[in-house]
Amino acid sequence: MDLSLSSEQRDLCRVVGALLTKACPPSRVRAVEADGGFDADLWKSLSAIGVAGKDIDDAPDPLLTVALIAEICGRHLAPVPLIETYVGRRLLSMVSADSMVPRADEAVIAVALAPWHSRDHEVLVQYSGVADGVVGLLGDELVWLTGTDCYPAQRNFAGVALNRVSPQRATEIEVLQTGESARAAYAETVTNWKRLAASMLVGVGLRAVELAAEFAKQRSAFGVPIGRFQAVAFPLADDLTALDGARLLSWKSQWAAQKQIDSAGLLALMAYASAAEAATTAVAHALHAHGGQGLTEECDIQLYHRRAKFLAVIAGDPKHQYAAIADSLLPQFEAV
Amino acid sequence: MIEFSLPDSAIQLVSEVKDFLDEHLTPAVREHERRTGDGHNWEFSRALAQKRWVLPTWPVEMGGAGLGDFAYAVLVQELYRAEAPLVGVNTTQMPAAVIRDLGSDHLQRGILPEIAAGEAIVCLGLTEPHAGSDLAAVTTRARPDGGDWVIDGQKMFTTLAHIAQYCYLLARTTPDSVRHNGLTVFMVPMDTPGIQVTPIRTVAGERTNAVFFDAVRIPDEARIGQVDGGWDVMRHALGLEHQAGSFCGAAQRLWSGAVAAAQRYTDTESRRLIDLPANRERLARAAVHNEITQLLHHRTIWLAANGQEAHVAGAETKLYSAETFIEDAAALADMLGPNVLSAYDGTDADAAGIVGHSYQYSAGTSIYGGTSEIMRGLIAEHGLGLPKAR
Repeated sequence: MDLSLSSEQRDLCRVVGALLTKACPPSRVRAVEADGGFDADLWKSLSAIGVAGKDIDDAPDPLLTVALIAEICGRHLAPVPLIETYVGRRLLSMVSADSMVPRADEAVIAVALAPWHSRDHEVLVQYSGVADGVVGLLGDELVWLTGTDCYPAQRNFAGVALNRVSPQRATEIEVLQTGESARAAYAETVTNWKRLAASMLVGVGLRAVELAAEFAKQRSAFGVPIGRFQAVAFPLADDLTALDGARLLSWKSQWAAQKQIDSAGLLALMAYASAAEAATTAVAHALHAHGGQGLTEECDIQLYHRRAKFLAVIAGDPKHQYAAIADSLLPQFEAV
Repeated sequence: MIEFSLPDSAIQLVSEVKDFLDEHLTPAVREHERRTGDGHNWEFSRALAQKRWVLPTWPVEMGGAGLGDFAYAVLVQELYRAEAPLVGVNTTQMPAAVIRDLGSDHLQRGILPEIAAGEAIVCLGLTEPHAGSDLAAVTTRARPDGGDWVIDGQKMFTTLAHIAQYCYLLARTTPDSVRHNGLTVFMVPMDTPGIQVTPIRTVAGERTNAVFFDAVRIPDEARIGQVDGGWDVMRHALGLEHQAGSFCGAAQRLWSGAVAAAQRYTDTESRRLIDLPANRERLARAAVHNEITQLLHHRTIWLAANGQEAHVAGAETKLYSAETFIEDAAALADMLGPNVLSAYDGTDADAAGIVGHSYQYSAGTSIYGGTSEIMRGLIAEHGLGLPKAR
C-alpha cells in the first residue's frame, strides 16, 4: 500500500485550491445560485488548467487526479460540470467519432443519470441547460442530445443548474450505440460518475465539519467554547472518521478502475453509498452545531447542507445503492 | 502512483496462515476455548511459537519471524477471522516490546525467550475498580522495603491473570502524588505469595479476573523504567507500532456467518432470509463497513511505517471498527430472529451461533483498548483542533 500522491498531483491540487479560494468564495456560490447555478467564468479558468480534458488523461494516474480535483470542488461548492464533463468525454471518445467529441476546453457535457423510458419521459439532468450535449440511455440506445435552450429549468432547493430533459425536446438526437454494448457503456459512465461524486461528497462533508469546528471554537455558551462539550464535539469526530473512510474507499475505487480490477464497479458503488451517508450526516451535525445561526441564509453552512443532499439523491434513492452492492456480493435471488 | 495492494509477503501469508489453522486450530482447541473462555491455549501458542508468530514482527535472532507491518496485520486478521484463541499472545506483545525497549538485562534475559517460545504470557494489571479508562487514577500501592517493593491493592478486568506467568502492573510509588505523577511499572511474577485471582465472566463467555494484591513482595529487578517514571513507560507503549488494531477479522467472521445463516433459514412465509431486500441491505452495509475498517487500519499502518503522525488515524480505526461492528452485529442478529438465540457450539458450521456470539462479543469492543469516548476525544482534539472535551 502506498497512499502518497505524486508531486504533480500535489501541485495541481495546490493550483486548483488557490484558484477556487480566490474565484469561488461563498459569496460567489450564493450569487451563482441566484443566477442559474453554473459559473461559466470559473469553468473557463478551471478548464484552462485542463482539469477535465486530455491533459489529465495523458498524465499518470488520471482517475485519481480527477477525484482529487472533485474533492476540492466539493470543498468550495464550485458550480462547475467537472464530473459530468470528464465522464461524458470519456464515454464519447470511446463510442463515437473524434469529430463528435466537443473540442473546446470549456465544453460542457451533461449526463442523464437515469435512463429514459420513452421519448417524452423527463429526467432531471444537471448542467443540461448549458451543455454542448447530454448523453443518456433511451431504451437500449445510447444517445447524444444536442440543443441547450430546449429543456425547462427546474427550480430546486440545492441551487444547482437543473433541467427536465426529455429526448423529444432535443434539437437533435444522435444514436451512438444500441443493444447490450450501449447499456454497458451507459452503466459504466454512471458508475464513473458515482466514483467521482463520492470524492465531491467527501469534500463537501469535510469542509462542513471544518466550518463547524471553527465555529465551535469561537462560540461560547455557559462560559466555555461549545467545542468543549462532548455533545458538540463527538458527532463531528464521528463524521471526520466516516469521511476519512469514504475518501479511502473512493481512492481505492479509482485505483481499481485505473488498474481495471474486477471489483472496480463494486467499490465505486460502495464509495458513493458511504460518501453520501457520511456527507449528509456530517452536514446535518455541522449545521446543528451552529445553532439557530445555521438556519439563516447568511450562514455558509446551509450551502453545504443543501448541496450534500443534492449529490446524495440525484442518482436515485441511496438505498438502491445498497441493493446494487448486495446483488454484486450475495447469491442471487432464488426463484420461488 | 497510489497502490492499494498489500506487499506480496503479506498476501502470501494468507494461505500459510490457513494451512497453519487447518493443522493446529483443532476441534479440541476450539472446544477448550468454548469451555474456558481463556483466550489462550498452550498447545496453540507453542504451535504459533514454532512458526515464530508469537512476536511475529521481531527479528529472527530475537525469536520473531521478521514480518513486516502489513504481514503482521494479515496474520492477526486471519487468526481472529478463524476465532483462534489469540488474546493471550496478542496481549503479551505490548509488555514484551516494552521490556525489549526499556527493561533491564535481567528482565530481558529472563522473560523474553519464554514468551517467544510460547511458554509464558503476560496479563495487564492496569485498570482498577475505580479507574476505568482513566489510568492516571490508579491507587494500587507499591512501597519500597529493604530493596524490595511491597504491593497492595486491586486490579480489575485482568484477563489471563489465572494462567499468566507475569503481570504488567501499574502502581503508585509515591503516595501523595496526583494523577500521572508517582506511578511505576513492574513485572510481577504471578506465583508470588499474596496474589489472589477471582474469576469474572463476561456476556461473551470470556473469562477475565479481579486480582487482589496483599503485601506482595517483589524484588527491585521487577521494575521497568524509573521509579515514578511509570507514565513515561505507558507513553512509550502507546507509541509502539501495532497498537492500532481493528476488529476486522471478527467482523468478517460475523459477515460470513450471517450470509451462511441467511441462506439456511427462512421467514414465516418460507422465503429465504437472504432474498429479502431489507436483509440484503443489512449485509451490504456491513460489507461496506468492513471494507472501510480494513482501509482505515491499513492507512494507520502505512502512516506509522512512513514516520507520519498516526494517532488520529489509529483512533479513527478503533472507533469506526468497534462502532460499526456493534451496529452490524445487532442488525444481523435481528435478521435471524429467534434463530440467533441458540447457544453457540464454537464451530465454523454453527452459522447462526457465530452471529449470536458476535453480538455478545461486540459489546466489549467499544470499551476495552480505549473506549469510543476516549477515541472521539482524541480525534476531536487532534484531528479537528477542538479544545479538550469534557
